[in-house]
Amino acid sequence: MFAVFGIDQPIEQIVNDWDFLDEKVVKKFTTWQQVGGNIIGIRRRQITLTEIIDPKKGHFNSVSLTPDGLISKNHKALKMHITPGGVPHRVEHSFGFWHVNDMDEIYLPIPARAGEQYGHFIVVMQKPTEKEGESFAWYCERCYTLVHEHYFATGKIGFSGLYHAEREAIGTYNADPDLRRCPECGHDNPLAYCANPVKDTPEQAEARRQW
Amino acid sequence: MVSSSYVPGYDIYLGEGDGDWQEASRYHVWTKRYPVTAAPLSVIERRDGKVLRAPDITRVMHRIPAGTPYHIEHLFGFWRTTGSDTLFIRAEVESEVYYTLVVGTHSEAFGIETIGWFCPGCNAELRTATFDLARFGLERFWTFALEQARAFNASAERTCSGCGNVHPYAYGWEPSADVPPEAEARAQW
Repeated sequence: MFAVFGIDQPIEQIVNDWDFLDEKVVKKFTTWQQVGGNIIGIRRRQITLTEIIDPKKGHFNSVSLTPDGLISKNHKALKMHITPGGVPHRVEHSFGFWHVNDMDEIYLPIPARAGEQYGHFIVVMQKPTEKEGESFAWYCERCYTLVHEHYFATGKIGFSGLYHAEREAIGTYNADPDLRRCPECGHDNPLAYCANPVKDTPEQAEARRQW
Repeated sequence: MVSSSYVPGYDIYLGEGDGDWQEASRYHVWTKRYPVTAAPLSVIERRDGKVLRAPDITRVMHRIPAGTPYHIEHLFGFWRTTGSDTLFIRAEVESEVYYTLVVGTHSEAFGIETIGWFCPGCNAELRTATFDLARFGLERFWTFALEQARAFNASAERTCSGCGNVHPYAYGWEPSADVPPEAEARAQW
């Protein structure tokens, strides 16, 4: 009944972010985008009621570190998962560090449309305020002791600095064997690697296969 | 000392459950599944004096910016304005449509909700009311919204003083609470 005030031209010409899943729009979400009060990423993956396959990285297994040990988030189609702020989490073989965000994160896998191969894996992170940020962290793979943490003040510095912070954190961690050695059990933990496999050194590529 | 249990994550299965809003960490989430043949829950919102309608296509992810009055047809019979962004997702999967609404409560601007009604004929504001959602919570918000809808229905405000247009009946969130005129209005707008 309010259509009398409707617009007379394609909606995307009026509001270019009207539908994030539109084919012309969704591509920009392959990298994180700050949109209003959230930071949003959308990946195209094989999404079924039992598993998720990343076309480049393979089986997608996201895990959280809890007082009871590692738990798999067991992502699958039509199951939303919310990771609250402060919970260390990572995706095996996808990024070689633990992400500890002050902000909550939502994961929503939607299966492919009829006739399409890939569905939409939607990730929404709350945008941090000035006093909030996130860490790249490493826990001993044997006893889960925190061995190293690199904090980035995302809210203060801005999200655009995160990729540089990732490289810096990984570079620092990988360059010093003492940082990777667990102060509790003495275990030497594997190298870190970043989210983008293209940036892997041969040693990091090996670490990606390992953990 | 007050302590709360450690929750490493929340799982919400789209389309399952009773269609109530869920509070998970710093998010409010609503999801419900409908047959694809059901009337679409279309988002319409007010921007710069215009009413814009999100497309009713098979898959949509739309952001309703903070501070933007919006109405979702057949879901609630008023315009809602929230202090933080609302994400609306519509996904057709086989013979079902999965709707999801997500509201982050982390924003400092989150808290005060405005509900209101505007004349469909000339766009004039007919009635608005505010509610402190951060203080009183979601459950009481929907009770408040129904009370306001019924107050609007019983008032002369439904008739626009500018153009004389009579606004359809308002209705609340929960269909089972509708009285017959509200159920009829829910089917209409």
